[in-house]
Amino acid sequence: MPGGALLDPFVANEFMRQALVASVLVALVCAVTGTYVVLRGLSFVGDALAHGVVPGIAAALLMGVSGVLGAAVSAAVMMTGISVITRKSRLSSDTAIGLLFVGMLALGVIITSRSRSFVGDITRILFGELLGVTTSDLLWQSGALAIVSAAAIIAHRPFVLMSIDDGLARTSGFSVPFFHSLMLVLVAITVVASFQSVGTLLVLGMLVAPAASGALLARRVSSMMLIAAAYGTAASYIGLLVSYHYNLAAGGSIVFVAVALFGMTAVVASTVARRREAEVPHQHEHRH
Amino acid sequence: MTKNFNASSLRRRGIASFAVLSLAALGLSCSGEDQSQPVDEPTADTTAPETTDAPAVDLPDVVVTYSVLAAVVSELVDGVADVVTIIPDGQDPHEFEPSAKDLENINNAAFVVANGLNFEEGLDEALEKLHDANGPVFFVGEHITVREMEEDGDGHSHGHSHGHSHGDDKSKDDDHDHDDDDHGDDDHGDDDHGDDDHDHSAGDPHLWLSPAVMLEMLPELSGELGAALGVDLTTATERVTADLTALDTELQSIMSGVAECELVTGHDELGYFADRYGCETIGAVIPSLTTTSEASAGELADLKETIAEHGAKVIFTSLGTPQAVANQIAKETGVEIVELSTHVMGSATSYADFMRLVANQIADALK
Repeated sequence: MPGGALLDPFVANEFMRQALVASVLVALVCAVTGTYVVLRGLSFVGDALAHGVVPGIAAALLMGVSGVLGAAVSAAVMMTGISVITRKSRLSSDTAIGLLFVGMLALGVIITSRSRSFVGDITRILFGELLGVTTSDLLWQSGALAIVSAAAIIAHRPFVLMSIDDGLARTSGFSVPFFHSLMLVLVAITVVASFQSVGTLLVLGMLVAPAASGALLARRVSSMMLIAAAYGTAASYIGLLVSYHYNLAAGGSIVFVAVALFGMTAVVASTVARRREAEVPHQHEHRH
Repeated sequence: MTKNFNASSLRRRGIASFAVLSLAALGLSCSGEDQSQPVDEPTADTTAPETTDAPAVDLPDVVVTYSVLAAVVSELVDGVADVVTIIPDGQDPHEFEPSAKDLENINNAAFVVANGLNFEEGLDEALEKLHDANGPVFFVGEHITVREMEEDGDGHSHGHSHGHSHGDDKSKDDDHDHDDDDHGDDDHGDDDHGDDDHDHSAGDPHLWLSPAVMLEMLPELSGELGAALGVDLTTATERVTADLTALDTELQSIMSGVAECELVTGHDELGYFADRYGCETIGAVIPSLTTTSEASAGELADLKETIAEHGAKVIFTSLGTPQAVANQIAKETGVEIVELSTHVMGSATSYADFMRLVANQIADALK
């Protein structure tokens, strides 16, 4: 019975329900942050942050401190470093990001390799443990969602202007450096709050793929965010189902579905666009 | 609306915090202990490791890959060689990656004892190289009756044994083509393994969890080890053989107190133990021979069903078991979690202590 296969795994298993809630929360927070990541071309720095939190988490767990705290410190260090290198030298921000990215990741590898009894390892930080999500993880994520949404609402106007053109934002009286930093901080919060359940790499996937679909289909930022949220939620649900029925890794399945959905959307969107172009001369003929 | 983000103050704060945090992080990593240091494993009667009546002689190094195996080897070469353990006790041997110093130790050793059967995945390459160059390396897995894993329709693994007791005389079964490169979760690029068959990607590597299995390989180990060191290990071998036989009997009696021994484990680690002491592994959090696989939703749901069907009361976790996942399953099925020290010596000072500890952990939990 088709309905059974689609719902039973969640009805019968608490770990499936919690995994679904966790990934939907990630999808929602990523819909907000991810839309701006896509519009302003921030995926590289997003990726860098996803890896840059690793040494902080490793060090924190070594010291017996909360991994979230370590991730936050790590993210702060990384963003400061990027900012310092960009301003102090002639190097582009792209180079700065690259340097910090690999530097922090290498540091993370070193710290982990020196630990005698490191509970968990880099793979688990990168890919998370979606099937072992706890209620406290869900609370962290809900909190992050609240903060990120609030910030996005308050900073809506400058963010939208900056997505069109930095100069436009400047002439409207907004400090581009400040709001750019704020945007990066929101990405960092997204990564830090989500890594325990879904891992840092999954967060990156959810930042980019659903928002890219939103950017394909809509023109207004708020519409993009809604579409991104819908796509992210769909990817979470379908991905978890696929992982359940075919014994595949949960996190990987969700991200793969998110990207596949984008691919299908892109194909449909371009087909529709081509058909519309072809119809136009046809319609003119019929009018006369 | 601008905040106080002027360039120079940010620069100063940025450099200061960046420098402090980087130094702190580096300091942290340097304060960790050395990965491999020469260890004189204490023997059963725990004599002081280094002091003897003889003047300090530089004994040859026998390198063993992990701690439990090292405990056995130490009893064999006590007084005639220094045992160096590569993988620090407490690190997951399935996931361990060696440092340059570890590789140096392996290459300079008088003799290397390894598990084989893809257990020390990170050390495979170095050990292969040594083996191909006809170096003094002994793979325990080549000298025992290996439990071969095969999958049935649902993807559950069952083990059964094939006769592989003689290292040189390879009597292969026709059903299993060992020359074939059927490396499931194995991602080593160079799959060119000449005549060796210690590369069973489907062979259970957890051979140290049964003294009977250790007894199987002991004669050949002491023969090759003695030859490499140029000493006669007959007396030591006889002593260790007697100890292991006594241990086996003791474990039989511990486990005989368990009425129905059905085990749910962290990963497929108790195969040899179960076979020897009348237990059956009915399921695992990670149904794989290694901890590097990820738990999958479908398999976890199956595990819950299995637990319900068999009325299991305990999930036995170990090093490398994803704790959060195990806790969640335990919560949903109402079972207890008991941690086993199957991959760790911990406070145990000898192989016998180690095995007794594991057996008692299991027997106590199942009473």
